[in-house]
Amino acid sequence: MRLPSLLKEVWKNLFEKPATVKYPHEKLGVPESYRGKHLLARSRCTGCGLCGEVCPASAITMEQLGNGIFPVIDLSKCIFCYQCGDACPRGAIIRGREVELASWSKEDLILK
Amino acid sequence: MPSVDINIGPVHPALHEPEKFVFKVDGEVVVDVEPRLGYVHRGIEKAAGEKTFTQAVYLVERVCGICNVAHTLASVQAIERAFEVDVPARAKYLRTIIHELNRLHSHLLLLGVACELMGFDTLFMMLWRDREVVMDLMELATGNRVMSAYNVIGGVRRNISDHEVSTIRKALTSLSEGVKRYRKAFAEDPTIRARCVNVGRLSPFKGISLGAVGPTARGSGINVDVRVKEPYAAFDEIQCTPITYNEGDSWARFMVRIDELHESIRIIDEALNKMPRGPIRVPVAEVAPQTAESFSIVEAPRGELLHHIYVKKGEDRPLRYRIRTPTYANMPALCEMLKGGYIADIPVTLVSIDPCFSCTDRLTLIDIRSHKRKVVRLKSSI
Ligand code: SF4
Ligand code: SF4
Repeated sequence: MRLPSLLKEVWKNLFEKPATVKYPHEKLGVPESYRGKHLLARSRCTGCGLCGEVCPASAITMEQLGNGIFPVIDLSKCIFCYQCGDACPRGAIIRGREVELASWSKEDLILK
Repeated sequence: MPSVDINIGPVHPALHEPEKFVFKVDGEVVVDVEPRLGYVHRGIEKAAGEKTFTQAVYLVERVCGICNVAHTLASVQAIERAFEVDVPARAKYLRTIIHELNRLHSHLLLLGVACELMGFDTLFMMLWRDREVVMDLMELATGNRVMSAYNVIGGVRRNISDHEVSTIRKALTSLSEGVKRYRKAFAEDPTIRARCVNVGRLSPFKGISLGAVGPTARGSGINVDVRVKEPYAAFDEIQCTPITYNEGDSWARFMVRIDELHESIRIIDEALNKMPRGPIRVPVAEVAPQTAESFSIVEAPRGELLHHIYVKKGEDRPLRYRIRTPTYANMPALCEMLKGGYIADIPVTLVSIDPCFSCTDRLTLIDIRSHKRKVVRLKSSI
């Protein structure tokens, strides 16, 4: 009987470093291009509401905050497409790279 | 002896998605199959008509998570055709590259699942380990592992830097070494051959008459590949060779996919070499400039995928959106393959067409007289 051609690789795997990492203790990180949690630059925002208009997930509502109307993003609805960032004429929605967004309460996921 | 009906699904270990099949069996042999589709119908076509064009692209991206790039590509191409927009050359190349990366990931996933179903868990793990290389490249190039949100109307969302080009090249070279080893295993391994060779045969004649598409058709020696027959994106400038096998069994369908991995790696390499510099996106009007009907066909990892839209002048939403997905086209051929086979071979045959039921389930019929809604059985619709 011929030996299966993968046997060599299987044998090699026994002595190699595992392909996986132990996640919460060891992290791989995300590349520069990653679309994570938004950064809202409220000083640049004019409150025009364009970002809320285009959002495909209806995740953005405009709310009275302090002395102006500003976008509020519900991250539990957001699909991280960054169409809002594309639509914003003032560059007030900046791409962030934070990925660990799990939370015990939905209120923590409201981004103001 | 009369045949016995065996229900498999909607929830069953051999199926990865909720779908039901009624197999009429005589002893161990399947004599007839009745698929019952519709468990994951989500009304996406209707919902797409209620979203603006920009939003509809993100919605159809979710028809199927695995081939999301094929869906957005078909969608934006159909909209661009209706709007008569010309996309910059660099964007076309970038679309091609991401489209092929998506195919690599989809094929590696399917081959892994197939190995798992055959009980060959070692190869399953190896294939999925190497699939991570492709997922990392997707993340690097588009900004997300799965939902790329890369194709937008008028171009693509993100450019690829020279540094990223060299990272992609390096990763794909090492992937290609791995694929060579896996090809050898698929071609020669006694376990795989025992489970796949001569299982689920589809003759070229049946394949053509039942309208099989993609790797399912190419495994039966039918030379269909949208990338070659109707070049889109940058495929008019990039050489692409369709892979066909004449055996027509499950083994041939897996071999088509594994050879397509090499072909995709080569296509990405060629596209990276030829890619011109320049803009990646042009601004597009939000409302349709004219009343038009347009469609776009792309070669999704599972076969030919069609997006068909109607737009009305001055409207910012599609009037009607229609999608035809490859698994749906392959269902009649699948029923043909299963007939005459053994019960134990059902999972392998099923997985050999790379079924994706979440894309398939969009067909509902409404009886006009009684206003009753019913999901059509495939048997009654062909
Ligand atoms: S990233 Fe997309 S889904 Fe999320 S808030 Fe912005 S537009 Fe809406
Ligand atoms: S589009 Fe930009 S400027 Fe307008 S409300 Fe949104 S964040 Fe503010």
